[in-house]
Amino acid sequence: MLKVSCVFSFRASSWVSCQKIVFNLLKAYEGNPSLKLTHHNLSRNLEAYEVKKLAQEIYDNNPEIVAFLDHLPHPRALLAELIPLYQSRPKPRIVFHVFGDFTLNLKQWRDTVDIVQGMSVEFIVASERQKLLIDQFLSYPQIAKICPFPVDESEFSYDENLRKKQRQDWNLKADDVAFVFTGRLSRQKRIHTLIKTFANIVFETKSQKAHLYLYGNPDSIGDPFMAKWEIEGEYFRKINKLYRSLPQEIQDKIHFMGSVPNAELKAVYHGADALVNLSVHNDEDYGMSVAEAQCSGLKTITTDWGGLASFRYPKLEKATRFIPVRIGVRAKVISLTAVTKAFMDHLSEDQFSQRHELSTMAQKSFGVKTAKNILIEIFNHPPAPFEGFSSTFNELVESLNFTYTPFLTDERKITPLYRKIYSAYVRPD
Amino acid sequence: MKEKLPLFTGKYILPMYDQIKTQFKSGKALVQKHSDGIIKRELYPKFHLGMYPLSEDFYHELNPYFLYQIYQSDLLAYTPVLTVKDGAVTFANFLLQNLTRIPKRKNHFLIHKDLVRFVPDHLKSYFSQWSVHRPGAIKLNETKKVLLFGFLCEQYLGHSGQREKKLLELKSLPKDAEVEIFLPIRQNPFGNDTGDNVIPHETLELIRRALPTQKVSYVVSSQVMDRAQFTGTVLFDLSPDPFIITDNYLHYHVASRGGSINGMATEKPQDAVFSFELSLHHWFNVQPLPSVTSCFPELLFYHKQKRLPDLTLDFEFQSLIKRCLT
Repeated sequence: MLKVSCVFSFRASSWVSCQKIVFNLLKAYEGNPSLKLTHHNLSRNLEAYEVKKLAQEIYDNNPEIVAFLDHLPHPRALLAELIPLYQSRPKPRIVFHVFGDFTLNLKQWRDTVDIVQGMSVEFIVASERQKLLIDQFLSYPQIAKICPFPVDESEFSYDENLRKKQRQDWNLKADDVAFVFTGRLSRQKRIHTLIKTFANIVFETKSQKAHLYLYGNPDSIGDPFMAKWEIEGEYFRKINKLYRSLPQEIQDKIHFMGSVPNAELKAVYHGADALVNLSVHNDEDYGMSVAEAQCSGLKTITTDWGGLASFRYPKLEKATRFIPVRIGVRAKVISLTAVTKAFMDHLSEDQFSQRHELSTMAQKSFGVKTAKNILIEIFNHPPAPFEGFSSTFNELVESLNFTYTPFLTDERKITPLYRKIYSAYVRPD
Repeated sequence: MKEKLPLFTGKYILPMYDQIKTQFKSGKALVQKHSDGIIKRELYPKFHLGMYPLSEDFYHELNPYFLYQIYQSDLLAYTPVLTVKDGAVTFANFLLQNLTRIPKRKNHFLIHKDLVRFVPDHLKSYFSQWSVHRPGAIKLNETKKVLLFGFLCEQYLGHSGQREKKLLELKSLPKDAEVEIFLPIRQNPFGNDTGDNVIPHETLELIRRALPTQKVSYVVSSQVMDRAQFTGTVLFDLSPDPFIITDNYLHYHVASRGGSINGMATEKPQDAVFSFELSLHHWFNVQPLPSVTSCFPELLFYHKQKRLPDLTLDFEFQSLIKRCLT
């Protein structure tokens, strides 16, 4: 039996999807009879002496694996206290579940190298594209392993009785088509484009049956790597201004539902006809909402960007639709023609009849049980000793020393460095 | 009177309305990142940082800003309309400093109703009133969770009598409601600290007395500011008056994340001439100034007598302001 110290923040992250991810990862660990787990709290408000105490607690526990399940705070400070304690004992294997914010914390990762160099270190990512991205930063033969952020099958599964009730709550007729977005209403998730495209289609087709439901609160993250900073309320005002400029009959088709508890989303996914997610978020390593929607049997329209590209089923092509994305001169560019076509096709197609099949396939790919098995497989094969990060990583860290926007030239054009790194997130030509 | 009314509307109300509409359309605001080039934040007064998190920036098209951040009058040229976030002290001080400049600059200021009495009669056409309402807010007697907030200093909480009176409102709180207490320790923002005081102990005792049975927990700034969701929570602000601030960021933070604010209106005011959503949950309204007797002459008299360029930290001036507020 492997002794594993699971380190995460007992205080929930302000990022709702990250709360969910940590919780479900923990379930994947806990469901594994071959692992003996202990839980350790590494939260942002810990004082230095508390971190020291935590390091001692983990050391005393004598684990074979120390697994970092959370994205915040960065594990560097804890490792700096923990590893020097191993004077006479063999050092444990370190497992990092890498989140999308890896590129935002490069300096902390750089400062971690000296601490864990030569040790057995595992970087576990959530998707194929994220692996391509992270592998660029690792020194060969070190490679990242993939274990999707799991969905709890008992929370998100297909239930044919739910659809009718949800549609009654929305007051929809049988032939109405409900598109849904769930997540933060954020600039990089292209909510403005989503609303605008949907409104254009309703306007052009005079469709009475199309509805767009937006679940989530606005944020003010902006697009810092592209030098677009926002302050609180700014993005909300932008989308609200667009919304209020639409004719009343189109406004009536767009429903801002605010943020709801995660448990309520199952019914939302059942009531809807397609989930639409046009995100080109810099850190889109995965797509928890897409995974949960598909596990509930909902068709998805997503950008072909980053981790979102993982939600594909060759045996069920109709269940997914991917919007091409390219890295343009100044921004990531979504094919609006493809978005329009995706909406139009959904409006004209018959109802998707393979919800149950989609749900089964999604659960098989992204369920807690699958993650549990993948983790065991990963733990059965020790990684090569960690020799530090690659020259690409160093190049990126150095570029951060001079500017907050390492990916833009003085003319505000996207740099070759960004293209090189984030080419991992787009489909190759 | 009937003949005079259209003249007044034409001369003051309509240009004011046009000015607000133009500003709303342009969306230009001093808090935006692209305004950074013209703003030297190091010139903000020292007390600004001490007012965190109340003084955090947020955006809407009518340019929310603290007047004490206008360290040189040229900044007023940037936008024709300014939503005043200040409390009574810095607002009154701004008026005294800019008495002749306001008619020349022709900015339009939106102020909280509690500041109206400080505006001199001859400048009233440069001011309108702002208010916020939150449709569907839950009341204190319906909530399962309340967030009790106040800076632990006298300038924010008032004297013990005011605190006791304010806390009486909590009587309607359900017995099983969860209570979070967020009382950041701060010095009086506008100076005048006399060293030791018993405010923290006294306030906690008053709270305990007001909430003898409720389950209570203490939270710090990061726990409140990192929270993405306040649905079902009522923010109960212990401040008895707008001495320090009128447009408190914490109210915005909680309301925009689905929470309710004790005392915030739930319906749009009938005399609102302009309204828009600040978030998915709450609205901003512009209204004409109500008719109240101005206390400005008293302030002006004191200012002339004292001959200080800035009265923000002047204790007697603060007492005068307190008197005007009560």
